[in-house]
Amino acid sequence: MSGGGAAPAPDLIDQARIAFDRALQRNIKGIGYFTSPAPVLGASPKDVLIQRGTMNLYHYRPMADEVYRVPLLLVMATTNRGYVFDMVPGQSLVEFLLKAGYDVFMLDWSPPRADEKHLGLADYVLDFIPACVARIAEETGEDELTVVGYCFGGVLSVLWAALHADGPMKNLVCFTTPVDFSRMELFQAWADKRFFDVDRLIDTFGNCPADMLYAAFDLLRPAGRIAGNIRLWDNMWNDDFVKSYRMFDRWTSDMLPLAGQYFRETTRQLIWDNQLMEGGMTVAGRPVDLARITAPFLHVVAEHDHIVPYAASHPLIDKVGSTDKEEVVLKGGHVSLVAGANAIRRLWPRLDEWLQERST
Amino acid sequence: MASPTPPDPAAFFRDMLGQWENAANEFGANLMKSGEFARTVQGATTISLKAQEAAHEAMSRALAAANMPSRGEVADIAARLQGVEERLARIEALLSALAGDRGASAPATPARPKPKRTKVPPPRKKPA
Repeated sequence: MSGGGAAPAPDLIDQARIAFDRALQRNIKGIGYFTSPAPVLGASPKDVLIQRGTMNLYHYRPMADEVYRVPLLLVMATTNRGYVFDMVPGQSLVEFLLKAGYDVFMLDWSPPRADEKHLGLADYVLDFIPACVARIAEETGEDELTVVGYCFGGVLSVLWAALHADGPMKNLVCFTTPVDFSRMELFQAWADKRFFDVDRLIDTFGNCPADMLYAAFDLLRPAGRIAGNIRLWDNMWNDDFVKSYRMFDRWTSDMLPLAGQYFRETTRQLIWDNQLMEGGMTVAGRPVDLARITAPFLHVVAEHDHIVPYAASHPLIDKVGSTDKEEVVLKGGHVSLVAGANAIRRLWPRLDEWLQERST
Repeated sequence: MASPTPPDPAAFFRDMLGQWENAANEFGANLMKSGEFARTVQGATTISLKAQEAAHEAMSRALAAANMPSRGEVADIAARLQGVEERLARIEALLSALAGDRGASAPATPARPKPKRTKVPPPRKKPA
């Protein structure tokens, strides 16, 4: 039987009871929070196909009896770990894609070693990605693949795609990928050319330390950490909230250092000179023209992205030369776009819908 | 007539927290955009870098004089050893699999499944 009309508002005693119950739960679960181990992330079964210094290529074990012909390569951003795509069962993009019938590979990164400080953009674009593409072709017997790049993984993907226009890429998908670096105002301020001595930094440390990058990302939302901790305490009674908080907190603090030369080149060519937007971008002396990308292209951007603002990512859709291209703006932020409840509801089904007919 | 909803102090607190966070983030962002902030932060970074550079150089000299590797070098070697061990494990698994094919003991890890690559998209639902 359904009750007619709206539910009556809880009275003061009910509210007090709820508040008391939550306070009690906070204390009980708060102890559990500090004594229990961190959740296991990135545990979908996979095989390591390549492990070479900072580069790792994974092949996830299929979860369907029949898969789409075209394999799919996820290219992770170089600043973070790839398990953002594979948090826990039920909240894993990798698992979602496997169950939907895709053959999924991931190019993920380990912290570059001290002797890898010389790695530059050319190594990532002209060596690492082509090595993965060749290994995937060998593994699957297919001469085409879909490339999906996230954030700076998207930048590497478009650079590779533009320099291999006649290559094996059947589809290109970018998640929140910057192209107009002049519109990343806070990064511009942090790396202000007048005061930021990138050469001294790299000459001193070899690679750009992860702590420094973490501090730079934290500065984008100076109150975020304090407010996040207060929200965690407020929601300590809520198991789902705590689980989600722990996953994302671990991932955001698990940043990677960047190879010295790579950091030097991206700072100079992209952040300072904005070459991808203004023109003049080269990789190992080869000019990059995004108009040479003609494969079907999907760019998914977040409405409230504080790391790569819409203004920085939006021009990409006009820059690529594809005729079959689409930009989708979804609610959410830089991370919630690809992982978590928001992504499960919005991005993942949209991605599957777009890929289905282009993956046969 | 419905009774008025009593004020919820917890909701008020959450609302205040959200407002404070937005205001603090906006203030911080505006501060960051100022040239003064960039000059101060990068000035402090430069001083810190100079200090670390000097300490690093002194430590490197001392370790080299004692014929000792630095912490970073040991960490690199450990990472490489781990990589070699993992690679060996993969080679071992492959060899076991090959031996299994020839009737020897069963492979340690299950063979990689190779599903058919013939999937087609599900039929589109017609709009009602």
